[in-house]
Amino acid sequence: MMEIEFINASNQVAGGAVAGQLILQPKEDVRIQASSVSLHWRTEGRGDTNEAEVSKVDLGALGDLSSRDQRRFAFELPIHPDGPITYDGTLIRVIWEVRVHLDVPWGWDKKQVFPVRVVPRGGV
Amino acid sequence: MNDPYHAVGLHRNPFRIDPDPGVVESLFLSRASPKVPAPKGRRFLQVMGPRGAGKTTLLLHWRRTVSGPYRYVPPSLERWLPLPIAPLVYWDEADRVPAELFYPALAASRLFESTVVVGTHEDLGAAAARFGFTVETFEIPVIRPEEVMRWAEVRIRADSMEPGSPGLVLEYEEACRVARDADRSWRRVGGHLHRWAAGIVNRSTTSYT
Repeated sequence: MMEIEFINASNQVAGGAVAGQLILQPKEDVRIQASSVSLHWRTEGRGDTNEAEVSKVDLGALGDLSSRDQRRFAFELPIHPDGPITYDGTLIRVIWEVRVHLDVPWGWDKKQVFPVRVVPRGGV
Repeated sequence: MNDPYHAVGLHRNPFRIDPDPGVVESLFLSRASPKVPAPKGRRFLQVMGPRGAGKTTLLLHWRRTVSGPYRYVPPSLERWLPLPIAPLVYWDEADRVPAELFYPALAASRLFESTVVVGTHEDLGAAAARFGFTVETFEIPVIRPEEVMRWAEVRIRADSMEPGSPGLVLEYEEACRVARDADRSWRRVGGHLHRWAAGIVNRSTTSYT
């Protein structure tokens, strides 16, 4: 139902922004009364877990989406320069992800997560 | 961007720590242990073992079968909160309870003919016996390689992206190494297997540079 086309698909740079287009093509007609795209990081592994929302864009009410139509919504989510970067260690991971939330009235909300990789300025 | 764990058919590392205490029933490993305690038994059942041995997991497993108030005693000032009294109670990390609270709670439980199930690092049996409880001590046993295999298998299966997909396969020799280093602690097992899984995933995916 949803996809994201990232402008920079491989690496996102700390201090920059995750930018792209959210592409919606529902399998059936649906009404969206609120929607958002947000950027988060979280830890996972053998230690205490932690997570934070870094930035968020409210796309508002999208109205009625038809299964015959494809709609695109541009977004840009700033990444603060002093946050953690993506890390895949053997005991702990720092995972960055874009989360899409579509609020469906009187129905199950649609949620999807898209992992992204955040690297330090200047590359790794 | 793909998550490196997806490349080996896993949603994530199956051996990560779950912030919630205990484990969901589908991940519970059945091992030799006393029968599920019955209420009103005038019984003091203490489960002993080192950190990460699975005391909390066992207590919460029993509690799902026979419910009763459960209290986890933290190391902080909250250890001074009163213990629950009921026909069947679970006091986890009971050796942290100050004596000023522990003995009155034992006395009250004895009046109710309660069954008291505790998770503890220290032997509290002598105190319970003085209050007239039948004391039973269960020492969490040494971890065997076969148990490491089963413990790992259910976790790998739970995090596999497709049912039936093997994801990772733990060899018996590796399980023997893990069991030997475990020192009765599933936490150590988890740490070892987390590194093992991460190593396989990192070797099977390309570098990010």
